[in-house]
Amino acid sequence: MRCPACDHENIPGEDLCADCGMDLAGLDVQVWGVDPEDPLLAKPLAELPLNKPLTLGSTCSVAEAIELMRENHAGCVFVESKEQELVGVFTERDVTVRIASRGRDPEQTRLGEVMTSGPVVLQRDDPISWALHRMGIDGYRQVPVVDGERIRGVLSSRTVLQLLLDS
Amino acid sequence: MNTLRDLMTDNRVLDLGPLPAPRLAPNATLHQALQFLVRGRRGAIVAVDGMRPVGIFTERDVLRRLPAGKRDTTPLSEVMSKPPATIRRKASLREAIEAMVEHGYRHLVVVDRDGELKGLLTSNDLVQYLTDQFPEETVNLPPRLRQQYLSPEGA
Repeated sequence: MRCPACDHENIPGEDLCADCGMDLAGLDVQVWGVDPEDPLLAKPLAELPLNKPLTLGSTCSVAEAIELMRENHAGCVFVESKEQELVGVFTERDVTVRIASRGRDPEQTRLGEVMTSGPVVLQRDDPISWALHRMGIDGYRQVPVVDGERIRGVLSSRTVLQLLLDS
Repeated sequence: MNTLRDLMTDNRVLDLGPLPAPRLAPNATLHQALQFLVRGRRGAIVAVDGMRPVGIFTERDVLRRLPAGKRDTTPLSEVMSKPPATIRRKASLREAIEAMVEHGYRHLVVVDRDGELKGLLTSNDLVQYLTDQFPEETVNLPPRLRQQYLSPEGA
């Protein structure tokens, strides 16, 4: 720990400079973690370039969902009710876990049978810090951003990483 | 106090701790590969020749190629992507993120100086690591920032 007044090299953790007696307490303490005041983290999700959500009804087949995901290079489709309320999600991982590894026929399986009901959602005015936190905890690659019950966009981990690079 | 920018530059892939890489030989069957994908929970498996990564097979590959009627006995080498995108253990997190964003990869095979397999890095590992660095005040914020408490705290 170098004394800011006289440049004397002190033992780490020393409270007073051994040479000039300057108060060194707390000077070498590194504050842990990310700055919560970071303006990047406080931005609302509505200001981010969200992806357009792909949506289908629950009676559509898994084959249709797979086709839609392929065409749009997307990782999931959202399932909407007739009233256009978000009721479920069907992801790339579900294709592996619930269809391919079990040998189910995608043509014969309805989305309603294999989707995950009641997906975790984010609100348009949620701050980025909250979105990152949810994605980190839940491990989701895509999270729907809603306004009331209706889906307005998708936040992907790629968008999040791109945002960090641009920051 | 750090910014996320500092963290990305100062931390390296090896600082993330163990990054499990489910692995199989290229002559394993598609059936085995699917079971490994389900159980491995990493979104991808690495095809290895000894300790050398020769391919990667992801959930995206399943989505892209599977319902085309591939049989369960198809060898992994026919359905995997090769060569796999790799990143050195000593690369910074920023380099890893750049590689993922630029090419749209969600997985990078982590290798040492000799090109031997050391792990599998997922985009979620990165998001999770960065958010683990948030102090408690940030994560404890209510999701509705404009939320009003009905009574003063402690009352």
